[in-house]
Amino acid sequence: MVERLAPRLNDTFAALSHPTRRSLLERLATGEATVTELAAPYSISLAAVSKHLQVLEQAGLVKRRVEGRVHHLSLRARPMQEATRWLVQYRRFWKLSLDALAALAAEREP
Amino acid sequence: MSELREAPRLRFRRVMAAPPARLFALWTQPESIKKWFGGPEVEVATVVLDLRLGGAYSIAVRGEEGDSVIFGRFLAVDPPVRLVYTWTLEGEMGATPETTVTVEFRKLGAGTELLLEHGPFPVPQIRSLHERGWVECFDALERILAAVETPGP
Repeated sequence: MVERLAPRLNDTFAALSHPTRRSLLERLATGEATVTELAAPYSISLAAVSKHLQVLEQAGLVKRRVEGRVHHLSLRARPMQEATRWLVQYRRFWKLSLDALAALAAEREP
Repeated sequence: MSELREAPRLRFRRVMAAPPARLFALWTQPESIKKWFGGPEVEVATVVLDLRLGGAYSIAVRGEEGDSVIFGRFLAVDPPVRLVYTWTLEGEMGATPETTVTVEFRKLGAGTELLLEHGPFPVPQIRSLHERGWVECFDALERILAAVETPGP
């Protein structure tokens, strides 16, 4: 069970380690959006946003629907729930703060 | 990526100012466990422990966000030197994957060299959580030992 889930969990945490990707997920939590819509609030290039979306997609956090030349992205909540469940459980047990958890997530920052 | 696929383990070495027998007792007596396990923030409600090969143990912990239980089974009981036990955490969100704790108390002068290994953890973040937790445990043990050695005013 651990062996089977571990690589996927790692992908999930790696995907969540970047602030822009966390912010993209938050936006997607409100509903489907196109790449252009998603990129609008950021000062970084469309290509950079596209790259972050690819990471999220590879981690199974986001799914893509292509309609002609328009790519629609939406959230896949399940892998995230799986990844966070154990982490939350352990954090609660050790009585660590949410800040401590955020610091751990940031450890994956490249 | 390959090193991430190897399920990571934690390894600690701490030198404690008490002989191995004292450490072994603190580690295995329910009333002592309540004082140090988890550190100052963690409130241990009950400890049930059958200290023998194959014997079970459980440590129930109270939390503001829900209660949880650490439970497992002794895989090796070799007082006062070595203990090996499985470790699973169960809380309101379900059970976590089973890990194994190996703790050794080696005589070092008048003190003890404490060696602890815990794992495997599915991801480094979960290992880091436990790292913080165990440091709290060791610090709490040291405070207990210091309080015995030098009585307060």
